[in-house]
Amino acid sequence: MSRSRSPTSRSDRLARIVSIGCWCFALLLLFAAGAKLTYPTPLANTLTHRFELSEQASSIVGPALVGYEILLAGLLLLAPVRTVALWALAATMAVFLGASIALGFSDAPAPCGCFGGISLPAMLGFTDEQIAIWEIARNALLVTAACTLVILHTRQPSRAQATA
Amino acid sequence: MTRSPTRTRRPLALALAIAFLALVAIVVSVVAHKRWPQYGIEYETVAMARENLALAPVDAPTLSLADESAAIAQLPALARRATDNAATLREDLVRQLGATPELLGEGVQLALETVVRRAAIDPESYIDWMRVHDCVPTTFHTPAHLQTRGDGALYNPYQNAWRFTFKQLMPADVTPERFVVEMLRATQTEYDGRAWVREIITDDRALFVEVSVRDARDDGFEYSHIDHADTLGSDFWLGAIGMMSERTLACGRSLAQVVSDEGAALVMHVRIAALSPNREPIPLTCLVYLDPAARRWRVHSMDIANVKEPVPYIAF
Repeated sequence: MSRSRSPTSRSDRLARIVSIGCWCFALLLLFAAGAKLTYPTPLANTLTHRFELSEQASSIVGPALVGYEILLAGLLLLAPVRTVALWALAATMAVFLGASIALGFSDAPAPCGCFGGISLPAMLGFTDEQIAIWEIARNALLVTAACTLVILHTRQPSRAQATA
Repeated sequence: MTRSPTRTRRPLALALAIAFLALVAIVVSVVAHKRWPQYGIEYETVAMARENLALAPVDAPTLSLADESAAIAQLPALARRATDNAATLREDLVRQLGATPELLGEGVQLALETVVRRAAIDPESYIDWMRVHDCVPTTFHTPAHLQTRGDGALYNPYQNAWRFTFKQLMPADVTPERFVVEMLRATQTEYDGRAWVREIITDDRALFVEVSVRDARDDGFEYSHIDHADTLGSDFWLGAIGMMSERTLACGRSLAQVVSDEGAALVMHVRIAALSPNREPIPLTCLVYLDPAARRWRVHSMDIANVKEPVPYIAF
């Protein structure tokens, strides 16, 4: 005799997974924002030297990115706007992946400075090229995770349906 | 039918939460913008440099370089005064090398004159002056601090400086003479002219000379020598971030050669507080040395401290 799953418990489980995922991404975004705020030089150098932004543009884009990460982290934790936040997260991660691919496949691969001065592979003594590849892999993983969260979230039955 | 109060409050609470988040994000962005590094120089370093530059007595009497010949006419008196107030390290060795107030005065005067001549509106006149001293070589030399064992160099500072200043590769036919002329022109026209010396502060505390002897043990100079004297302090001339350069128009024996050939060389750090066209302080240090065989003082290096914004290469 097989036991059928209760739709509510499945929905609860999905909701819990999405919620945990959102918290993880929120913490990651807050950490990235804090690291960039504390030591912004690596990102500033990437923006001016690698993406060839002017000093003025870099001083607007960089801080705006820090603020955006904080805003997105907050939105991910607000359940009523989670759909929008998750789509924004997936899009953001895709943009970050594109940026890290551009950096990694340039003539002189370089780290992005996404976490300010904190870089685990740099601490482990990896070269700039290896760090660039690590960042592509990391961002690819983050895009996958964000897209998975979007899919899981959209598959959840709405509260009204669950109650009915 | 009336709406329940909870239902009415929920969208309002959400709107307030989003507004709060947006406010936090904006505040953090503004803070990040204020602290954002400029030209790779960190905010803290810039703040420190600003603090150090504020030590300059900008309202003190100055020597204007607007009239070059008038300024040069005043240099002997200024050099004499600076020599009288000089701090001497390794006094016995300095005496052994025959240092007299007149000889030291000549060295200080050379440092000051180099600063004045470099600031001439027509940079070609600086080249003419250097030519009188046979100081216009045809090939670039590698500054001592960039030399590696063998013939190599860590990098080409001239190529780097050219690319940084003019945003293009240095053409292959650029001679040291043209390099200096173009850099001096850029000093006047680029980066708001912030490294272009237009005035020299003549206050005793703002013109400070240290005399010493450089040998295999270096010259024994320490920051405390500036701080112990009544000067603007080591933070002003050596603080925060600095830019240093060795002479491009190299002539005669270098400092390293004199030390190697003679065993020791009489050296002086001539520390000058200059002002830019916008009256921003420029903390300059000239290291001059005596070539005893030629009985000539030569400028070995010229540094600017507390560089809070980019300046062109200090070509001389």
